[in-house]
Amino acid sequence: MINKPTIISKVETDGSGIGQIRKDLSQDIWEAGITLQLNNLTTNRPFQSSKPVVDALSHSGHNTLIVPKSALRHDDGTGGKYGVAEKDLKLEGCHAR
Amino acid sequence: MPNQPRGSGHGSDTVIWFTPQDYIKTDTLPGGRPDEVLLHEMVHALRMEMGLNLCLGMDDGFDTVEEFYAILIANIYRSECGYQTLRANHDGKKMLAAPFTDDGRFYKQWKDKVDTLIHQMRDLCNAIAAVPCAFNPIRRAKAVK
Repeated sequence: MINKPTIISKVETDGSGIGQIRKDLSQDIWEAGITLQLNNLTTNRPFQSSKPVVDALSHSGHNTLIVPKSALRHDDGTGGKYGVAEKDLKLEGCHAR
Repeated sequence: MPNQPRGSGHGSDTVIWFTPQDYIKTDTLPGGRPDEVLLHEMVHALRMEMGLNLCLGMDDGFDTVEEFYAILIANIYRSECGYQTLRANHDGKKMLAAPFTDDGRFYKQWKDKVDTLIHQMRDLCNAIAAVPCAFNPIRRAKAVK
């Protein structure tokens, strides 16, 4: 586990294991995607409703770690007509640790 | 919950499993854009970190109240981004339909849930209530009080 800081305080990433679960993405590309989405939520307008959520997360007193999601879910028959969407939108993507 | 460890109520660190590139294909669906998906998961994470997460069951396709809260805030963000199509519930393909696209009707339908969110996350909801977008049941709730 090699946690890296993001543009948001107390929110880190660990993409070190991506090679074991994804053949289609590198760690650099995954991390660039995370940075882009964090920017979309905090610095690229509009963000008036999203930035308070991110700010509250960084001031919660706890740490948030973002890790790559396995692609296996997309191949297990749950992808539906939208490919990754239909079931993925219903699967929990966040857990306490 | 029987057979489950009891939480402290003080919250905990959280892990979000998220790969933004997976949602390029779904960005035309309500709630399907990668920034919306990340925001949705961050709402879950925030409530876990604040010790507020309580997955009580909920009807109307939301599955749990926690999903209702995450979908509500992501829908307000989606509306702020200028979209008129909003996510109906926790079924990824359903679009919110009239009359609930009207935030006043939405608030009236799920008043107890929205009021609970405002009570639990007052500072966050004060900030969101100030967002001048077409769909903002939190702003509507504040206007009623």
